[in-house]
This record gives sequence, C-alpha cells and structure tokens, in this order.
Amino acid sequence: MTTLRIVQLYPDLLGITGDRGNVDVLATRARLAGHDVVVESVGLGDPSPAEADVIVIGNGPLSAVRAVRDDLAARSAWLSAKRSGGASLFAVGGGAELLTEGIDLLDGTSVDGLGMLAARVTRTRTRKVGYVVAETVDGRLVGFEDHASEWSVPDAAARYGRVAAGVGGIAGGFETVAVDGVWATNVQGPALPLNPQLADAILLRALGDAYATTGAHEAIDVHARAARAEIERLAASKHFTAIKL
Amino acid sequence: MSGATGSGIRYAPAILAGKLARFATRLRGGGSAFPGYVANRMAPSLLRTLGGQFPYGVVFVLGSNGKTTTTHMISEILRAHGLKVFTNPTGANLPQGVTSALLADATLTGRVKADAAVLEVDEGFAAELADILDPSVIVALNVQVDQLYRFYETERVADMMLDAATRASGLVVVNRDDPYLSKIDTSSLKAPAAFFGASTEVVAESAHGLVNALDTRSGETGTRVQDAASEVTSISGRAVEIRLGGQQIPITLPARGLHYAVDAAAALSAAQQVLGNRFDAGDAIAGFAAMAPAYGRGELVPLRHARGGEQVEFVMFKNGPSLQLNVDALEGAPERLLMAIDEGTPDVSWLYDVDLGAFDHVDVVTGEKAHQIALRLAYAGIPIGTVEPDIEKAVEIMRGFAPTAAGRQIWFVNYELMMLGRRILGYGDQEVARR
Ligand SMILES: [Zn+2]
Repeated sequence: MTTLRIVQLYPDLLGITGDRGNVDVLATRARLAGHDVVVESVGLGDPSPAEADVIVIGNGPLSAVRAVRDDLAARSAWLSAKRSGGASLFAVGGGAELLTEGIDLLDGTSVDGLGMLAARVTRTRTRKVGYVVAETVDGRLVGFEDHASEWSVPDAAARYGRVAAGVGGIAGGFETVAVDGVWATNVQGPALPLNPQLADAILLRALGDAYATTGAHEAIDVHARAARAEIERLAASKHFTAIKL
Repeated sequence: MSGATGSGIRYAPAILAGKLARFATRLRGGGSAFPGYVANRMAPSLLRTLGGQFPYGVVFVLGSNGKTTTTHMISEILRAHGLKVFTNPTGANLPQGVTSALLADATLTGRVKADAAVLEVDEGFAAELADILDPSVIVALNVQVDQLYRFYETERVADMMLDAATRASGLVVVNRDDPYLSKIDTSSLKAPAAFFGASTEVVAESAHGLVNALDTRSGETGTRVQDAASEVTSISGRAVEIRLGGQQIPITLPARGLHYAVDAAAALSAAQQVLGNRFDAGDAIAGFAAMAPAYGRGELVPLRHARGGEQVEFVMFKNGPSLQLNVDALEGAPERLLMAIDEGTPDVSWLYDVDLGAFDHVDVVTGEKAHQIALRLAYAGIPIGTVEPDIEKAVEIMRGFAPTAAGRQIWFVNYELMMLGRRILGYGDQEVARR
C-alpha cells in the first residue's frame, strides 16, 4: 500500500463544473484499490506541495482563468518536475486552456499560457453545447461539452479522442489532449465519474502496477455503464442550441 | 390612469387573438408563451399599455434562485393589505410569457383590473422588459452558478441584473450577502438601493452558508460590507425573525430553509416600498401565515388519493446551489426519499459540488438521468434502493412502501419532473396553483 497525494489547484476559482467530482473519483478509486489518499487544496499564493502524484485543475470563467494565470505560471517548474517524476496532470476547460501556449480571445487580445502543451486555443463566438462521444485508446470517452473554444493541436498523436457524436473541442473533430502524463479535456459530466477508463489511466500512470480495480469498483461502474449508454443514445439524437442573449 | 381607455378598442383584435390562442393552447393541455407571441405580433405596444395601468406600480423579481418564491411572498403580503395583485405563473418569465399572463386577465379593451403587478422575470430579458413595463421596484435576489449552457459565465448574469436595476424608479432591493450584487454601483441607479440579508450568526448556522457565486473578476471574491435595511436575525424551523428598519417582524415561512428566510427579507422590503405608509407589520405577518408554499417548493401533495394519508413533500431544485440549500434545510435524513432528474437539466456536473451527506439512503432514483444520480450517490457511498428511470414506475414503488412515521415522503425533483410527478399524483395544473 502506498499513499496517493492528489493536489487540486484553485478549487474555489476553477471549480464550477463539478471539478470536485473528478478529484473524488480519483480518491475513491485509489482507496478502493487499497491505497491511502491525501487530497490537498492549493489556492492563490499557497506553497506548492513537495509531494504530488496527481494534480487536478478545474474549469472556470475567463475572469477566473485570468485571476489564476500568474500564480499558475509561477508553478510552471514545479508542474514540470512533478510530471517528469511520474505524476499525472488532469485539467478541464478554462484550467486546461492555461496549459497551452495561449488563449486568443474574441476582442483580439490573448492570455499567455504555460506552454506545457503544443496547442493553442481560440475562443469562438459560437458555443458548443451538448453530449459528446469520442473514440480513444482507452475506450469511448463520453460526457457533456459546453464551451466556446477551439483548440488547435498540430501533433496528431496528442489528440486523445476522435469525435463520434457531438462537436468536440479540438479542430478537425477531436476531443481531449493526452500527452506524457497530461490530460486536458473539455468533457464535463464531470468527466471522470462517467469515464472510469480515463480515471484508471490517470491512476495507472501515478501508481503503476500498484493500482488494480476490484469488485468494489465494479459495484460503482455498473451505474457508470448505464449512464454512459443513456448518453450515447442521446448523443446520437439530441441536439442543443445555446440560447443567444 | 393610463391612455388605455381612449385607445382600448385598437387592441381588441390583438387581445381577442391572444385569448383564443391561449384557449387553444389550454385545450392542448399546457401553458405556453404562444398566445403572448400572437398578441405581441398584432399590437407591439400592447404590453406597455397593459403594464402601465397598475396604481401601485410594477415589481420585478430577478435572481438565479428564489424568483418564484419571492414573487409569491410579495404578492401575498400585498394581498394581505387588501390589494388586488396581478402576477405571472411560475416559469412564465420571458417577455412572451408575461404578455400571455397579462392577456389572460385583460378585458378586450386592454384593461387589467389589479392594483399592483409582481412579476418574476428571466435575467436575460430583464432590462428589455423593464424598458417596456417601467417597474418601480426591482428585487435582485442572488447570483449563483446556474445554467452555464445558457448564460455562459455567471458574471454575465450579474451584469444583466445590475443593468436591469438601473431602470427601477422607486427602489432597488438588493442582496448584500451576494459577492457581485453587494458591489452594486449605487451612483448608476435612478432609485435608492435597500440591501437585505441574513445576520452573520444566522448564516454561520447553515452548513454551507448561502452558496452565492464568488466574484472572480473584481479581485475581491467576497462581499462588500453593506448595512441591511431588512435582515434575517433568527431562524428556527419555519419560524423566522426579520428586522425591517426599526421593527422586529416574526413570521412563519411557507417552507423550511435559510434561502426562503432571505427571500422573505427581500419580499418585506419590496412590499414596504410598494405600500408606502399603508404598510403594516401585522398585515405582513398575517400574509405569511396564510401563505401556501409556492408551486413545488416544499409543497405537500397526497401520495395516494386519500387526503388524510401519506403526503409527498416536493422539493424542487434546478442547480447546485438550490439543491445544497434544500439539503441543508432538512431536519435529519429523510425516511423515504425519491430523487429525480430528467433531460430538462442537461448537464448535471454540479451534482458533484453538492454535499449530500445529509442523506443516509435514497429509496428510488428516477428520470432520464437516474443512472447519473445513482453514480453520484455510489461515489458518495449513499445506499440506493432502486434505480428506475421511468417516473410512473418510480411513483408506484414509492406508493408501495409502508407508511412513514412522519406521514411524509420527500421527493427531490428537477422542475420538469416536479410537474410530471404532481400530474401523476393528480395535482397537475400549474396555473391553478398560483391563482
Ligand atoms: Zn427509505
């Protein structure tokens, strides 16, 4: 048994789409696999923890993305060191956009990213709202997308999912970036409860062979399978139009 | 009272067409904004004329949560003072819906016989409607993370409310415990602002406080300190004390919960402004005492057809904050609990931001999102009796249980399944409920 240390960055500012749920899923699945888990919240100005096996950054409005930008940039070396040491980094929505080279905004200005991912984000006038399903090496990624952004990801190998239904966040019909221990997604629901296969991929990177699922995981995953089936059914038939105000 | 008398005949065809469309819609079995659409197309100035004839003026109620309850409270306080009040049915809060509701009460010459109008208005259309209806009082209840697929960013909702508030001619009633609203720029307003809120002690007693959205843009995420003209000073179940100006007003809420107490503080402030020196604390207290819960907000409906038997308490939620506040208002874990969400709530990510630790089990989860609810509960380690997506079957399961000691089951439901659940129990007509 090992202790898994999960660090959630800026849970108050970047935590509007169930981001605690992603943290909770990682913690619960690791515990059910027999590990101790410590979850630590890090806010603006807090020291970066010496130990971190999984780092989670959530979603928030542009104002929150701007509010954390400099603080996150100051943690750049720490993030890179943890990543090269084998930690997993999972980021959603606005938080994920900060890991790219930058975010180009509708008013012609941009927000500089950390450049951890070879990608760039353009905020778009149209909003993508609805169910999304994408084929990945780990199985089907399913969830809800709700964002006004398009990622450009030149390296085809970094594109994790090919969209089967819905629109997806990456130009060309893709969704989610996965490269060397970093997962960056626009999938909500939130993503990890609906996608135990992705949660397990993140935990396998952090824990290695010490992570294996059990019957207790299966007791939860029956609900995930049923919820996923319903979403896949709806994704094929239901279309949303964001109301323009 | 207005120019309606002279020009009334001009509107007769539009009103008649609207009323006929309304009748047809009701025959099809449902409220609809369609009649308002028909009438507005035929006479675009009709809405302004209909709205301009209330001697005590028009009140707008805006907010992420609590619009229906607060509209109901203000209306009932005014009625307890002898006023005839016009109000829109719950949910009919877009321009066409407001027009439809006014048409239902209008004579063919465009007269609405009421002393005051109290309207819940969707934030997205509040400024536009205010330019037409000239509200004297605008109540800004709260800004909470809500319907992001529609509003995109919460601060946009704050700006919509603050923008609408500049249109009030008499008073802006605004929440001092809300990070965005507490920072209202009073110099931008035509009318004075009166703040409402709950005392620090009262908020501290609530497990998760007030759950208003953080202000992510000004550099100060919390509230700006403001004096409250109307303040909740104590809560014990449904018994609440509110300090309004210099008076201490003891009232009984129609349903439990800090959020309802705060709504009541806003409602008293708004009603006091509408009534001026006719406002009487005794009448306000009597108004609350006679108040039934607003549609689906703590409302009790018989589980089986017998009136004296087991009841269902409907607890409606539409987003994380409203679910959290209703969970926090529970008196102990519910004995028999149903939880229901359907596709009317497309993204349920926020279920994971709500602390459901007050539940010790859930008997039945239902609706198209039943499996997503079950998944949430499974990760929280809360035992589930049955997952049954079909609500008709779920209701049969709930009806099959032995009676509870409390004589009451609790059903936590989203808006659409509240409507459907009521209909299955034989209490389906929304418009009857508000009139
Ligand atoms: Zn039970």
